[in-house]
Amino acid sequence: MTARSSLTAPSGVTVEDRWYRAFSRATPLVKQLPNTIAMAIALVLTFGVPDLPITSAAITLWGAGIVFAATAYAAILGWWHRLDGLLVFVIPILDMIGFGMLRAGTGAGMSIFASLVLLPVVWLAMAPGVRYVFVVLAMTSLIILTPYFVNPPSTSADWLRGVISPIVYAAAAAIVNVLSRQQRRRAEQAEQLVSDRTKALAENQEMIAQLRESEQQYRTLLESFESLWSSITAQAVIATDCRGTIEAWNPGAERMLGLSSAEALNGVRIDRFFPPSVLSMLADVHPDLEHPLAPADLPPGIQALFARADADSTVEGDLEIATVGGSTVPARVTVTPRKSGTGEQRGYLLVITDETRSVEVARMKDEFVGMISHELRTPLSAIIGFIDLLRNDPETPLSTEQKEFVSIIERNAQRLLALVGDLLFTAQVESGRFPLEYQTVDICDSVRTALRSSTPHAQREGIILSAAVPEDPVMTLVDAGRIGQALDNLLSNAIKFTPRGGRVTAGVEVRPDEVVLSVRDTGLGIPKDEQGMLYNRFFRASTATRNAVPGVGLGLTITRAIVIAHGGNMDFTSEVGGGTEFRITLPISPKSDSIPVAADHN
Amino acid sequence: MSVRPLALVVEDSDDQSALLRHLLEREGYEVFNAPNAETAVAAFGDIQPRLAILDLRLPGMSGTECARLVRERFPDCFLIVSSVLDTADYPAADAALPKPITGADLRKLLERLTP
Repeated sequence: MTARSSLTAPSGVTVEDRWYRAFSRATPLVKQLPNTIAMAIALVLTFGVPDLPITSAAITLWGAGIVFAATAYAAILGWWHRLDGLLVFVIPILDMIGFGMLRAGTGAGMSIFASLVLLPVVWLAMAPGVRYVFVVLAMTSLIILTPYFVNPPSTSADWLRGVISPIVYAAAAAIVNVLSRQQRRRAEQAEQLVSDRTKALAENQEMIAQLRESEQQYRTLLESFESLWSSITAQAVIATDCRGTIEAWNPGAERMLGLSSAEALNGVRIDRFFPPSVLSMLADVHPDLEHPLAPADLPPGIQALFARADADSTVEGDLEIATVGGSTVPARVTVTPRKSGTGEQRGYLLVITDETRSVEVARMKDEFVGMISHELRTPLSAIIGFIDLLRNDPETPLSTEQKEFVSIIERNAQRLLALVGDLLFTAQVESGRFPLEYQTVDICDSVRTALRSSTPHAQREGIILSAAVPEDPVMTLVDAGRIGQALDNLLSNAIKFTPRGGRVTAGVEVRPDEVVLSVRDTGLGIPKDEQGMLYNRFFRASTATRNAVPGVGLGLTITRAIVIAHGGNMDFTSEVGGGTEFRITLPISPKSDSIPVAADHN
Repeated sequence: MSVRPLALVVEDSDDQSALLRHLLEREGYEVFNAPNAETAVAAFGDIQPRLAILDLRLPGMSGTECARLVRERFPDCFLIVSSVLDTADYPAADAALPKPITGADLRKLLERLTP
């Protein structure tokens, strides 16, 4: 990561490492260099310029020797990396002595080289601590007074020179000392500031790196979510707020409903996609449900849908959905309440699956079964028609034996025909399309009629039939033909599964808003483990196969389909050896097309 | 010219039309059999049916359309629809004769016709 390395200072690098390091933290040799050069120039001038006085060539040379020795010493300290401390301050002290001897050797008070001592004085004065000011005072006093021991001054003015000059040097040293101390402190502060800044910068870098990492994670999450979202193209997924305004609109919704996401999120409300007939149907199913959060102008159908989603946590149903283009789509709609992380209601989630294809498949299946049934019926019609012709031919009447054979053929042809009818009917039931012709009838009459038509069968099997119906008529809105068929099936089963001498009772019980029809027998009963499969097409109980009870296993499927189509339901209780009771519960006046809820589908 | 009344049978199944022919002849009818609606319509100029028995599932023109044309051309003709389809799907006619047909069923209908 190039950005990172360019922003982060490598560890251990401080301001001292810059180009001016050689001066701010100079080696003793570098500091000594001006002294050495000054001494060399002084020597050249002393011995090269004849006008300059030389009081003592020996002392002068000794002085120069001390300075050069100090230079050598400085070089050694530099070699050892000793940049500070007392050992280093020996150098300017030696320099002072050297320059002092130079002065003494070149005319003492008259020497033009007296001021050279300022070089080591400044060096020493820059050292931290006031004590060096006193060292300067002592050393300069020593240098100035030393020649007086050899050659005592004649005037008091000369004595004063020995006192004043060191004081001036000391004062200068004191000023330099104070200034350099301030300078040092300022440098330290600057240093501190820089290191603080560097630290803060490093922390910022760290934080930026963390932020970048979490941003990366967030981005990855977002990308995966977005790809997930945009890959849902088969279903329309729509989120609304509590008022039904659309808040999320996936590509599937764009495709199915013909509205772009940008348009949909521009304050469009969900009821736009429900045709008026569906809205009024939804409102009719649950007229009492009103949604507490919804605005008053939200259609009651949507309010009912939302309220049901709140109550049941999810609602599923097959509805017609209106597209923007004005067409309608058969669809399966699932509505779920949408909650925030804190459990607060945020709105609703609608998942709409286009059922056009499955409706089409169901239609084709229906068509296919219909065609097959008709194809089967055509030859059966010919068989039955010609048998009839044969039996009723006035010119060549059949013998008694032939008549018997022909009637066996006819009975079997009729059974085949009935089976084809049942098959066609179950196919119609499966595709959800079989017509009911409602009429108001006395349901007790239907039960009595069914019992009457079952009487010959019961007599053949030696079964006693009885009715338990109320005296007063129970007027019910049903398809009398279909209900009769359902009762016939139940009675026929009861008779078939009851041993000779048993009893079959058909009853009617009136409850508020509903009526219960029952058929009870004292027969074989249904084993517990087979009870769940009872309504499966072509299922036959083990008691049926074991006892050679005839049938193909369509009767109960058809019966149940008829009952469900009436908006009713069917249940039973059974005990092996104790008998079985089937109950049909029908609403006295059925609801118009009730919205099928998931649980009702098998 | 035959004294027997004419029955028009539009039926694509040979067996079924043979059955109807036998039954109708036993009842004293002359039978004109057309295997499809187009043949029947083409023969309209030559026949004067007293009775028409029409199947619904026909190749080409449907039985429903055929029934409409027969009714238009021969308003006095007794129109019977006979099919394996549900009687609920039958077009308007004088009588319905759902398959399978028996002689008794047909006789019952024809009794209404005999003046």
